[in-house]
Amino acid sequence: MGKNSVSMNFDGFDGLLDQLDKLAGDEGLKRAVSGGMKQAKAITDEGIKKAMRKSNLPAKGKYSTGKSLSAVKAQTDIKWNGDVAELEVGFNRKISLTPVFLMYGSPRYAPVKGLKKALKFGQKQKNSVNEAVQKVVQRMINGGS
Amino acid sequence: MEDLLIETLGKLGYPVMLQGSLLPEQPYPEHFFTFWNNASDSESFYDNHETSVIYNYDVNFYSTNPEWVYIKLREAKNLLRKAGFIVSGYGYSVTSDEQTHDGRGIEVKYLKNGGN
Repeated sequence: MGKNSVSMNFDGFDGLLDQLDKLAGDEGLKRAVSGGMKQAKAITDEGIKKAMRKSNLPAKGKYSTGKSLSAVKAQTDIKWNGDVAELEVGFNRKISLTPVFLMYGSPRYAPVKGLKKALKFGQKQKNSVNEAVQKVVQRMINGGS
Repeated sequence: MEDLLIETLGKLGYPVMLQGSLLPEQPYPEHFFTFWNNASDSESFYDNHETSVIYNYDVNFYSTNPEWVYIKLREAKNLLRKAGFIVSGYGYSVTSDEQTHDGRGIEVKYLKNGGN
């Protein structure tokens, strides 16, 4: 498992899971977690796009070809390994190494503001996953899908 | 907090500069450190007052000697930890503008109690 792992924890989480388990079983739980993770990836992708806007890039994006943005991992299928769900986020370094340069900067170029933070799975992202899962779980309990 | 970071890194005897501060026409020194402050977020509050702050930095070492980017960064890690910084892991490769130089970076944190 990658280092950006998340554990679910919010008020009433256990109760919600019990309810969902009774209603939809293991598959329901997996659907809820998958939905939350996809929303979290969307939040991360949005943060990357915001940080990579031309006005935020070196030379105001004069030399930007868009290759870095095309290197944002597009996969949205969740891989389940037992109880562990995995979804890749960030950049595919096989397509472009430029994001590394943009994220950490160089002696002649300052790092791109907000890019590292967008990729970092910090408390904000963890809270986003928790909130997203909570919404999905409640929607499923209320009869949605 | 930058004062302590610069002072600590400076003990290794190489220039310490802000990431991105070297002008395009300025040559790279043979070996040098750079740093960048990623964040200085509040960590705790009491009675509506900030009681602690976590400073987060990238520290990078660039060198014409590819072996030194590992060795000197490890030395820097030891010094920083002695000075009270939180440094975990052994870093990652960072890109250099010059083909003559390699670079390696590490994330460094400092928990300052008492707020700003």
